[in-house]
Amino acid sequence: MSPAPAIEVRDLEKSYGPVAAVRGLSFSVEQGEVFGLLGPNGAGKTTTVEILEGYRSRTAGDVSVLGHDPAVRDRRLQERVGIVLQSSGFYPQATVREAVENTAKAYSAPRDARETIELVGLEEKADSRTAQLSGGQRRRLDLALALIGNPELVFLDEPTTGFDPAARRTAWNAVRNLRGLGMTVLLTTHYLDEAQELADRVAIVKDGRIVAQGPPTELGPAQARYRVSYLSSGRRVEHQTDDPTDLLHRLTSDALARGERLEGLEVNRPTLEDVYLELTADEAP
Amino acid sequence: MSTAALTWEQFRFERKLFWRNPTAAFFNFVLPLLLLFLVATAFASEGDELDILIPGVAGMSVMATTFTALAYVLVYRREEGILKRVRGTPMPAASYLGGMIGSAVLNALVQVLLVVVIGHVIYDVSWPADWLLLAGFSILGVICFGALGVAFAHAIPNVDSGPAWVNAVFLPLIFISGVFYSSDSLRACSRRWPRRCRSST
Repeated sequence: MSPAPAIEVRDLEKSYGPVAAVRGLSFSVEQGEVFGLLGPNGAGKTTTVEILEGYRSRTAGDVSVLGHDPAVRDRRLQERVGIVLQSSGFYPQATVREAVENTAKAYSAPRDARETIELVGLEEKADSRTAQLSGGQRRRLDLALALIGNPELVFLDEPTTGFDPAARRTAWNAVRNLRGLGMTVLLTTHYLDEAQELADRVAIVKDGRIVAQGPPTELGPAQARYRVSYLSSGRRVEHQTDDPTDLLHRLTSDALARGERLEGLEVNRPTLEDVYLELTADEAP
Repeated sequence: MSTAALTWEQFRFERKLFWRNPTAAFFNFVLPLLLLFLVATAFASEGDELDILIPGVAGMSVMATTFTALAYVLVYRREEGILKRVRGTPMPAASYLGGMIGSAVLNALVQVLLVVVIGHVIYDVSWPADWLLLAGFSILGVICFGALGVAFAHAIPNVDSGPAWVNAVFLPLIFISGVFYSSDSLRACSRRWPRRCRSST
């Protein structure tokens, strides 16, 4: 028998008055997996994650986090979960080390503070006040504070929003480290490349519903088509096909027969982006 | 760690943060004393008035160090998302708030003692007749104002409006509760006022 999933969500609904933010979400996250909730702003990702973190109540549905109902505040659950919120601050007068050590006290079996600061790459800033950190460094301290309790499950709500490309790479490596430590990760993002880089499985959320779910590589080919394009008298000609083999064979043999070259030939496998844009496009014209 | 041990740890952390923040330390300790010196120098030439002013300022410091300080710091931490983060950890709310309030209470008690000592040494006001009574009322004040400060933080919508909200309560209260003059004279004044209003119509 496979171990119980770390997170199980069935028919989750959440309404704010007459506005339905989440309308029947179901998914499960296996232990040791990095699971991505991907969707545009306002799709209901943060609402879903905050229900799982215990910050919000749900309107309907069943939710289980490490075997607990997160709506019931329970220290035993909080000992095992690390949370990186979309935005949260620090005591400006505390140093990085003090912030980490202070948070560690709340846990019965915390990680080593120095080692955790190194894990997120803040060792050079350990004795700096948190007020002096850059945006990327603050986000890494967020991660350190989420990891200090040595959690089994980590929630990352848009961990790289507002980052420059280099900072994003660093953050991605940090998330990959978590997987290496055997932690389960639930990640929300509106960046496709981030979901593609990090997640074992992705659920695409739109208007409070999951519109597609699966490993990022499998989400592509099943639901979008290959694009084959080349230059013909200076203009780019594009074909779409489910099977590029046959199309390429025809195009290249025609070109050879005419004694021409296919300048600028490109074959693009559909990316998650294509699927995503197709699925999250508004129906309105 | 037990809830009590965590409360103690949070209290120590709050003390550390407090002394790292010079402006907070200034408002907590220096401002009431400055007010004391100014008012005492300007208005209180007689011993009688100082007898009222010194305990009045001591009472005001209790309110400033608990009600005002807790309302500010809670709103700040709420708006910064610090409280939300803490709530996601196993830290019990009682320990967290307990540590914060404990730190404010310590400030209040130190301040009351400072005002009493300065009143005696510089302004020659006699020592409190009943130290137990002073301790009793200080503790009662600390409990009331601490609780009110925590509750009042809920009403303050954001950090920017904090001072306006707090002062809307703080300033009228220190006037009507007789910090700068005996509340007897205030009662006489408020009795006179309505009559004057009636006579003018």
